[in-house]
Amino acid sequence: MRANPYREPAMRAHVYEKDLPKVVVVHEHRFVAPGLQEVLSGRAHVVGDTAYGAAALQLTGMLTPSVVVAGELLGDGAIDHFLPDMVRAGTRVLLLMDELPGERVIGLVGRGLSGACSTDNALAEVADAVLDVAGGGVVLPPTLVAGIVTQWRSGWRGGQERPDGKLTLREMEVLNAMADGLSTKAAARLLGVAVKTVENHKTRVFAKLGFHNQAQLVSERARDR
Amino acid sequence: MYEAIQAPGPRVLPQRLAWGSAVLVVQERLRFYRESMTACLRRQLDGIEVGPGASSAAELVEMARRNPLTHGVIEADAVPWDVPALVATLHRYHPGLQLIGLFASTRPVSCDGVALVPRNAAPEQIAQLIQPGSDRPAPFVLTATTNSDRGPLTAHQLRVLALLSLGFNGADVATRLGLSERGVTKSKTAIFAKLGAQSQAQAVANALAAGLLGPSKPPIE
Repeated sequence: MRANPYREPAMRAHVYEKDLPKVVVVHEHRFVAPGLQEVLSGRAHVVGDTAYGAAALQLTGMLTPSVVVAGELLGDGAIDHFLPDMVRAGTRVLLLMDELPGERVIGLVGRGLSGACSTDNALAEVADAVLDVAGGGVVLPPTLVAGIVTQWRSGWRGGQERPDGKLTLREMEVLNAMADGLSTKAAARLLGVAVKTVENHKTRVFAKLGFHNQAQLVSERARDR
Repeated sequence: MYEAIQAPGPRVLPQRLAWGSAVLVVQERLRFYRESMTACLRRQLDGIEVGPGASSAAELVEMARRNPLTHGVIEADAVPWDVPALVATLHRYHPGLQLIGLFASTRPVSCDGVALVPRNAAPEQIAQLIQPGSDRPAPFVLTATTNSDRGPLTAHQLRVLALLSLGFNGADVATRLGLSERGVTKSKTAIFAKLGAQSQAQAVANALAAGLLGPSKPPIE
């Protein structure tokens, strides 16, 4: 595939009004930042814009924005890969999603996401969500709030504790082998057990921790390290 | 397919819009993208009225029927309607209509009379195509690209891998990127070969280790 001729690196001086919340946008579509800037004019200032997670981390460090408005898929991974670093740096993140699967949004909120907005919302609604999150609020689709309240009532403590403790020692060993991207066969050789045994452990570990497949496990464990 | 374009959708603008001689409409299903793009183009273009957007082909056709449309920005892939049929219908109302088709997938629907532009093009670039020489100063924003090497993977392959790493299966990835499942399988095969992986889990592990996916430096504790 040819390099995209429309994406040329550009550096511009940034001048922004004092006392207005600062916004950094990290989104694959380049009309998102100027679009938000138009509608937020006088209420907030879009100070940074990039399509890459790594560049967003740099911009966030330089500009200390009140909120980062992010897309799900970035030029160098998914927002999930960069969220922990942003949260650790104390940045509030509002995620724009084409779809809002409850389980996924709640998982991200547990890891520090400050809000999620559908891309089918009006530009003005998204702008309001940006200002709410910049002001310290949490913005969630109303349909998800009920689910979160139910989980909270049943004792969910998002982000504090992963249910790894519930795994047996053997399951932990299988989990670590899986997290390195080993195949079932290779894991069986490593642990000196039958392939079928590893398969059984794998099924149980995925069920206990709620992973869909091994690729997701690899990606999430890498983030926790 | 063709009937869907002929029949006006329920969200048709009732009024005839009193615009100037040049009128542009953005067609995009998702409202936030539609309104962002409209706001950007309204700022960039001079002497061209940018109307409210259209969410579907039917809405766009209805707007073209009622208004003196001269320019249109349309979705050129992953749409549930026939793009060449839409273009033919629009040109029947306005033979000189200038159309720009935005695409995200690797294989956009190409047809005569539509200039194809990647969806992640800068708004100034799209404005330049519509109105050569339009050069409004953009707002003061610090823009940054990354110098981190994407390695052997193409941008498309990286998107597929990123979605797989979130736990999506092949069918989900196909839906999200507007591809066929066969297309996803082909991308996966190419990704595995490039990363020397036997499975998608191994591919994700290798990509993370090489810094192709996620932060290139390990986070500082």
